[in-house]
Amino acid sequence: MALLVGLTACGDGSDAVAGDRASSSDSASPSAAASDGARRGGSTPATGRSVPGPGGGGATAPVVPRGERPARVSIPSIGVDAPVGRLGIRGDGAIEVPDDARRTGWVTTTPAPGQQGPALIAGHVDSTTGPAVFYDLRTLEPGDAITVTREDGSTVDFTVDGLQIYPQDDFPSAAVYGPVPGPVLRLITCGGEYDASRGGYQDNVVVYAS
Amino acid sequence: MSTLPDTSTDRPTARPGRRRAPLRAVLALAVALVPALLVLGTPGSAQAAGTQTPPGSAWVRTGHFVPGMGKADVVLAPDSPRRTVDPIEDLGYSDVSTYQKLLPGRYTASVSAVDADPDAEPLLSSSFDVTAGEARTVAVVGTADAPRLTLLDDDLTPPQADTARVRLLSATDSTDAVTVRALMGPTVADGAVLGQATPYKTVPAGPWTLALMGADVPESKQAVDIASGSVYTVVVVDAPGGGTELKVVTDAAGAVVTPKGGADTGLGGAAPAAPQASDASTALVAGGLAGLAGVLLLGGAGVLVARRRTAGSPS
Repeated sequence: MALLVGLTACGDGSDAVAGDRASSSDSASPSAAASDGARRGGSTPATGRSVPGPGGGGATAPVVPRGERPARVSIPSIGVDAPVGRLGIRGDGAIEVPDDARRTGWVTTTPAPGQQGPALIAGHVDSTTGPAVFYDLRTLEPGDAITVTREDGSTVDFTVDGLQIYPQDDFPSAAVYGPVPGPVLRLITCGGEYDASRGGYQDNVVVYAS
Repeated sequence: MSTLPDTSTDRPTARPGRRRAPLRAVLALAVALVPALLVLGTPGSAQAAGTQTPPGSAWVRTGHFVPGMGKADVVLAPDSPRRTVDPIEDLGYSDVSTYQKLLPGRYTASVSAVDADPDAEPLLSSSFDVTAGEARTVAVVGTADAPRLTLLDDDLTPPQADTARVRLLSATDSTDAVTVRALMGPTVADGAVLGQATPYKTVPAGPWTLALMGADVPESKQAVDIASGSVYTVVVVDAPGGGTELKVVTDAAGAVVTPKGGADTGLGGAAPAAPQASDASTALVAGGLAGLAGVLLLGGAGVLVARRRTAGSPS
């Protein structure tokens, strides 16, 4: 459980409380939901339940039918098969990060994977003690496969288009989060130099897939 | 997505080294290929100043905006014979296809009536270029007597917070010009004419009631939901039962709330040369990067790691 403490210090050394909404507000874990036969195939009607909104601003997150939310992400080329929780926006505008180094999180203000637009899934590169779920993300190559399994058991397949590494102090929000005509996926983790005196990692690794 | 007709493998690649190498291999590499370590090694060292354009394909869709014209098949033929693009079949009036991923390059769009002789010349034909990351709509516009092909630029500029971008495309010949105005809100377009897309306009996000006005048609109202961060085309079409109606097409969807900056997704436990680094090979690679001079002059992993800890030159 040591991993659950203070997983917030990649870029700015912030002591904001991390949040992984899936683990705190959803009774069923994503992995349990994915294997739940009753939900498989989308037989359960969409509830239209609102997902958690952002910490600030007037807009709210779009309503994604429960079955269409992501439950797991699989990246065979780097041996990743991990649960996908839910992440909101912190009070300072930055995204929350998973509170468990083994889990990833879908940012609920972005489209769900498979919907039109850029779905964003974040995961840690490491914890205080060693590599985390997205440690090998930086080694992905164009053409590598990524599969997102949704809560209803359906899957959405993506192919890596490319990988970019951006300084955290010059992050191209428009390229990463801006509107996209088709259903695409962005995976994000930390990278670059780790400088404890400057808040930790100095870069972000972003994988573009569609 | 896998169902889209993008089968290419010739996209540009640039990436750091793949997988962690065993310690011995890393040491050998450090001696033999010191210069190469400048561009391998840690993420961020190779391309910290990444391009602002997302890698990937262009996005192209097709729309039928000609009142009174029958269904059509549209073929987007790439200049490169190695590529194939699925044809758009049975495109009827007011239909807009989903976007296809196309590799950057030159394409020729050909429009034929669905019942046309396969050997006949296409009804319309036009060539165009697309580049990575951009979005285009191949639009069949005009009148049934004089249809034409036009290429619309679909704007992917992120809207400001809590706003969306909306344009109007008139595909009705029931009236000469149409005006669309949000009740208690902005005017989307004033006097739009058949077959011409208006410039995009920034509007506050939210549920709106749009009023459609034209000299020759009764005013009509329609509820629409405009999400922040997204881009729309509102198409004015002839309604099946007479009159006109609005069809809202999402050009591109973005984050409803755009996060600020990247993500704080690491604690340094596996960072190169971090004090508690658990991966010796990673630390050595980092040492080689920061102290290239030291590699040759001093040697020795311990020295390298020590140098790396004090070098601290963030990218």
